[in-house]
Amino acid sequence: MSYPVWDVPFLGSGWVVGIMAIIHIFLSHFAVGGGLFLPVMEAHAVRHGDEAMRQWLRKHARFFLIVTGVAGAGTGVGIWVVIALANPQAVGHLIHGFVLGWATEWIVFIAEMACITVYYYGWDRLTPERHLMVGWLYALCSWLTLAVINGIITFMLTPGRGWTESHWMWDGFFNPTYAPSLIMRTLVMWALAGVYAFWTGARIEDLDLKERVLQFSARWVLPAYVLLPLVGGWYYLNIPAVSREVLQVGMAGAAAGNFSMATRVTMLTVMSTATIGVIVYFGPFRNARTFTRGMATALAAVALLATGASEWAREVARKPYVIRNVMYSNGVWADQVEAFQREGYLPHSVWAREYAAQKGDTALARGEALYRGQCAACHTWNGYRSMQKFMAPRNLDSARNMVRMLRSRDPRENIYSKFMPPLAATEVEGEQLALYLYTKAHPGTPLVAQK
Amino acid sequence: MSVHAWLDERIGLADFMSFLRKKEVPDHRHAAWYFLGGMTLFFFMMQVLTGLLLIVYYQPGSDASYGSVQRITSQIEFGWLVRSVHSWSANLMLLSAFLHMFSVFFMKAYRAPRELTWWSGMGLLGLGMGFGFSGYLLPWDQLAYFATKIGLDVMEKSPLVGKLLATMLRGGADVGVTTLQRFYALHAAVLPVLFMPLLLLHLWLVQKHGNATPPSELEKGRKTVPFFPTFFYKDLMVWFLCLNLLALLASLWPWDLGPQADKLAAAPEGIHPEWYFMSQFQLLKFIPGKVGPVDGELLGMGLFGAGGVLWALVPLWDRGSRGRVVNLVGLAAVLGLIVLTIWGYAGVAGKG
Repeated sequence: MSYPVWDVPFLGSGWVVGIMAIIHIFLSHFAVGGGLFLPVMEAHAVRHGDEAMRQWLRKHARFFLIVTGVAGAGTGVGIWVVIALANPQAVGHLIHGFVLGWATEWIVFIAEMACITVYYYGWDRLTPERHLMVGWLYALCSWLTLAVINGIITFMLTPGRGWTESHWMWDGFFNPTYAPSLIMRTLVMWALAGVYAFWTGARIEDLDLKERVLQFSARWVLPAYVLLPLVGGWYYLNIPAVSREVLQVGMAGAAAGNFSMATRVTMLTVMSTATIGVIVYFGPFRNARTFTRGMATALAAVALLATGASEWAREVARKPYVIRNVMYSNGVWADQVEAFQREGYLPHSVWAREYAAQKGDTALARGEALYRGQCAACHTWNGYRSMQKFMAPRNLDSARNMVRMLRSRDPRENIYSKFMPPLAATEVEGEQLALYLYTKAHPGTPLVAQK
Repeated sequence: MSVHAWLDERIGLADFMSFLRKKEVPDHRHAAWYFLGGMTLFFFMMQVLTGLLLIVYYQPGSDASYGSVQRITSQIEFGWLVRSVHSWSANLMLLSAFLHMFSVFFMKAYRAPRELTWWSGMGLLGLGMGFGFSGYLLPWDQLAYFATKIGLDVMEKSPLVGKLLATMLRGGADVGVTTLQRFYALHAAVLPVLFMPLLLLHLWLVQKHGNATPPSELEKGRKTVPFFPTFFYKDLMVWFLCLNLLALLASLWPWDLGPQADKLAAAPEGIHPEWYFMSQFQLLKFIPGKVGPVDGELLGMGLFGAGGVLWALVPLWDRGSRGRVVNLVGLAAVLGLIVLTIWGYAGVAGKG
């Protein structure tokens, strides 16, 4: 591990990334789905000579520009900041592995921003045909940003056998979940564009126009619901078998942690997504005139829940890796584990070694350095995935046994191996870690009493 | 013959739909509060559904209760979900019932001719709290045991029938297997038998008198929307939102099961009743053991009981120009409950 640990008390660095990512995805998906919504609705309005709808669309485009161009782009930068702090090793690897991908992403993003700016500010200045053409160009650019980033995100879950052997960028890019994920995200973005349109459309005072806008938006959303279950099933069949097992484990039992949490959150995704479909049908589609801003806000909240839950479940499906079979979630390379278990973690980790040295290089200090280096990426002491709570009922022997178990990579010996990285440390370092965890969880308790 | 025509011939579907279309719901700036009654009903229906599923696996008895709940939580597929939804919907049902009661109070919807609607609603809330209290013991874990013990001790101090009721429920000198069996009978048989007819009466009264428009809105002229489809679709959407909230809570914070009840063990630190009894619990803490010749707890429960009776009888004493006084009383009650509840939780925070 060549980087220091970003210690975020109570919440954990993972949740900082998670919160930022969920907000960004909720906004950026609007940017892509809405990119198609704008020219399609404009073409519809022009074809039917509906100038009132076209004028409403102009207001919606302004809202769109502000939300996606300011908040969406701002949180995008925010993600880069927090992921670079939370897992610099993985970010470095992804940057080096996909140089062409990132370059393409940034070029199409700049083109996307330019198009939406011209689209909005050129409303009265461009001819209707040219204005619509800019809208289509925006739709293409924004969808391309998805097509590129999707290759890198899906690579993290399923690098694919091709990449594992060749290490060629395109083998990793077009990995087994690339196509189902691309189509699934496109459908989700499509649906989200309608949800945002309900929010702005709910305030229209002219009831006839309101009905036309909301019913158009509802018709826009509903087809996605027919296709989403099919594509979701396709995606599920392509994720690693071990991730599917994790989801099935949670059907019986609600133990804390990832065992069943992944199942629960996946169920939540299905339920909230289905709810959006039902509300859209009974609300803006069947009852457009009385659909209120409050209801649209509630619908957007359910959509945010669906987005957050699905992204969380996808992240957990990747456990215990941050890049499957390549790098564990704590930044330890999969092929380094054996060497670390033989030669020690601290000799190979400049920051952890330095941290222990600053604290006197005692057994406790070395245990703490190991905890920070290998556990703190996912656990906090007294907040999310609390170690305090986990250690409280354990004595020193129990802590030692647990740490010994964590060194194994065999699922028959290590029940956590499907969710947690193996402890990449020597037996002696493991003892130091157990001592540190026990001492911190039971301050003031004499160790002799636990022998 | 179509299904619609077949049903129409037998049950008069067209008449029913025509009735629904004629039925109107007041439309004004406070109309959102009308959803609370439907929300309470929704959570109650979830209670019935999940309760029926739990009955399939639950077994009353000192070892059997704990073992069966443990099995439901850790072995039966989706058993944890059913149990969590049952527990969360119980809490949400009471929360929405309380909010519904306060909204009815402040909109003066208890005034003639809706006195019976108000009283039947109060009865339902009381029975709902009874469901909560009796259901809490059934898992027979440490927390349930001691919380029930404390609850019955408090009940014993209530004036008039307190001692009799507590003894009947406890079924002996201390909380034990007999208590558990009685609570189970109460939770799964006695309370539903009392609750269902009262609920039907309440719903029929709501239907008969319709939703009340608050006096402040009546002055502006009465506006309405048709119940079907306008209000019905909105109600349906709210129910779906409630379902999502329930799923979210049950999924992210599934109901815990502590260690099995042990009478000889010390009570868990910071033991306290459920949130809907917290204000009484906190009030009793403020009253000294003896106030003059009167037992402090008896006085506290007496005060709470008298307050409850006064509250229930509001349709009788809200007469003439007392509307403003009633509002102030309502406001004081709401603030009192909130402050005492928060105070109660602050007192036990970090103690278990």
